[in-house]
Amino acid sequence: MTNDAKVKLMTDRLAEFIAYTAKKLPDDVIGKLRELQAQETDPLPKVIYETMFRNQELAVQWDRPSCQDTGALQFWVRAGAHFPLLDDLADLLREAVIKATQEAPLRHNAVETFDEYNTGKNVGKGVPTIFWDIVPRSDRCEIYTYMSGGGCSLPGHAKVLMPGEGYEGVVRFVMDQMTTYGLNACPPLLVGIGIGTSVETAALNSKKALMRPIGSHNDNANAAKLERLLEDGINNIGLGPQGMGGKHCVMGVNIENTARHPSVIGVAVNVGCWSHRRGHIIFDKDINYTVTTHTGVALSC
Amino acid sequence: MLKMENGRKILVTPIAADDLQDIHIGDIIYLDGDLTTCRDVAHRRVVEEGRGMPVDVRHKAILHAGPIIRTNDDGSYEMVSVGPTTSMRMEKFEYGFVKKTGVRLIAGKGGMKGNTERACREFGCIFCVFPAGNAVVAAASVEKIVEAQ
Ligand code: SF4
Repeated sequence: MTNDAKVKLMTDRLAEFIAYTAKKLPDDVIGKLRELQAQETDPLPKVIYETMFRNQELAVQWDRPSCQDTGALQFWVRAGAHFPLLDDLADLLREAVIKATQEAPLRHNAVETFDEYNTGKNVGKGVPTIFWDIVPRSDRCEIYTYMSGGGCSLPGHAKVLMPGEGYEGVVRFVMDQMTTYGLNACPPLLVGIGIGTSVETAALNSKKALMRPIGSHNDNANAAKLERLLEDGINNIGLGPQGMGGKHCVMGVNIENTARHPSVIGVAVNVGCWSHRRGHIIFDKDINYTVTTHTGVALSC
Repeated sequence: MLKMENGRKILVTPIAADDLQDIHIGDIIYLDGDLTTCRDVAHRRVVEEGRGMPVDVRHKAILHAGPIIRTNDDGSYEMVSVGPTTSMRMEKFEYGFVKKTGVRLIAGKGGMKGNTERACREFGCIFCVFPAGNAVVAAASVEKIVEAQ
């Protein structure tokens, strides 16, 4: 296959996969929602879960995005240093977004800042957002796709704490955000927490935390313990699904961490709503693909 | 009008203030009738600019939402997707809005605060939450789009 043919194939495959993720939630999210649904006994949360599942069925049947807010498109790319399309990746991701926007169709969610106009294509200055990691000695390309909705982006917050505030400070920061803003973010939520030095290191970790499967844990025992404690703590706020009250309001708490400067603890919280439209697709050097987040994906191209 | 069907409380527009008497916090209610979508700009227009609404919502319902509507070849409209947006954005306008328009039911997402609460008490209105993120269920519940602008 020529380089151009590969670029076209990867663009088409990505566009179709992006559109697909607007209509069907990943397996882990569906599984967790089912589990949480089974534990609710009051009529109100039960009706809400029934509505959610009916909505997801209808979205597939009618071939329409399941939530009206299809978010701002964000990608975390883990590109092999030897992946043949490294040169073309940024451009082809942009093209794939434009194509998916027309074909899904996705809502137009890219407003040029300061000029304040909607580009109508979901692309703009620096958008779609791409977070890059280069993976040495690899010829594959792993892409996490994410639709960052308005409601679930709103609670996002980052702060640099003095080390004296310790991990108690981290807990206080997260709980304050969740009690104030959790309600509007469409619970049950996946809560991503990032720990690092300065705000952007913490914030980037918090976004990566949202890409980790629900039910997975940080490999550091203390961080994993904090995940569980925060999960209980946030559930105890009692928001329930859609903030209408109920036993659970989180799908999980994921912490991602990097080392920090001794004088500070950077912390960030980032939230994914119940409609957590995350996808994970891996391309090999010949643009064959594997999807890990959704079973049964068969792209037409 | 408030009617009961299979144990469900259904509000039918036009809604009288008395129809709201039997509705309590935590109730699940259904709406049958006229619903107008209306967000920041419409609220601002009524409250800040003192202009009227292009649609009369007196004794009817509004939804804090921006829908996606398709115009069919025969000129009719089709609801592609619709769902509530964060209602708190409209909180600062809601007292003036309810007072001026006489709307009886506000549907949205998340919660509201004192301004809306005061308007509901004084003018006879309720705030309800439609489970957000269910755009297809919402679109499927639309019988007819009367007007799109
Ligand atoms: S928070 Fe999520 S589910 Fe709720 S409206 Fe926004 S994108 Fe949709």
